[in-house]
Amino acid sequence: MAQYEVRRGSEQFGPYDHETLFNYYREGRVVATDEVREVGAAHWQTMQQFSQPQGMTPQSMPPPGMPPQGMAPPTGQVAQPVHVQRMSLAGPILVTLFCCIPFGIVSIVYAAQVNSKASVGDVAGAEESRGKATMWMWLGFGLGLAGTIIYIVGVSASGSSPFD
Amino acid sequence: MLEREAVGVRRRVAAGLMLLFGGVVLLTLAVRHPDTVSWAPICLWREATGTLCAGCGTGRGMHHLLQGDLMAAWRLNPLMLLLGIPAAAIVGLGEGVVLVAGRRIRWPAWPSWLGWTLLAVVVGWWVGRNL
Repeated sequence: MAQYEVRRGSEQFGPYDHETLFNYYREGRVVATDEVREVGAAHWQTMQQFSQPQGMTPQSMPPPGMPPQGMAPPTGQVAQPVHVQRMSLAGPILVTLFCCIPFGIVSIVYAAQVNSKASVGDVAGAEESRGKATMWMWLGFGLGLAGTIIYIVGVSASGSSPFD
Repeated sequence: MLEREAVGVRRRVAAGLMLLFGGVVLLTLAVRHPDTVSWAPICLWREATGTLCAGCGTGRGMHHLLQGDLMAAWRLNPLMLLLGIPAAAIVGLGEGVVLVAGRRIRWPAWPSWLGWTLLAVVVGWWVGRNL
């Protein structure tokens, strides 16, 4: 199957197969002004020239000069945009108010750290805080659930509250 | 709207179990006041320290709310209405979508100050209600 290379200015991407190239063009990752050639071919042609005879159409036309976001060359020569998964505050709040306050508070602290660290570009720190926030949230939920079950079983067995 | 990656089958089962658990708790609270149920879980913090935690009153408050008595719920724990219910709705919606669609909701990112503000509100309420 034919493989194609894409060139934008001095940067080169690919190779991609025809279907991938088609999808990137449709999604706007590859734009009409980008140059493309079959691997091994001597001459580049613009994506517009290349696509017209084949009925390939872009879905959107980003402004020229826009970096090829999300374009993932298999060779990995282009740095990917940094992405930090944000942490939900709803889970920690829920654990705090409906379950186990000490664990929930710790979880809120770490969850708050995630966005603060991510906003200053500390990706590793944000990921670490997200892991801790998630861990404390589930720890609180799990211990609260287990404690509740043990309590209910204990009361059912003895007929009165073990804390009375 | 939704994340691109699908979650595993285990995650969907977990979502279903959590929704079931939440549903059973809500249904129980809708028909019974916690004080009339001998086996209703108590707050371990309150039991151990004799002071109220930020979440004390949510069980009784939810009972009153589900019975339609908003003011009684407010008197027991206003933070439950202001924060707890929205948080529960967000988690419930998210888990429901995971269960049905097999993918997570992509929520908009919240600003950095929001987490610290909520932390201050919860801790402030926790301390303040005991003074």
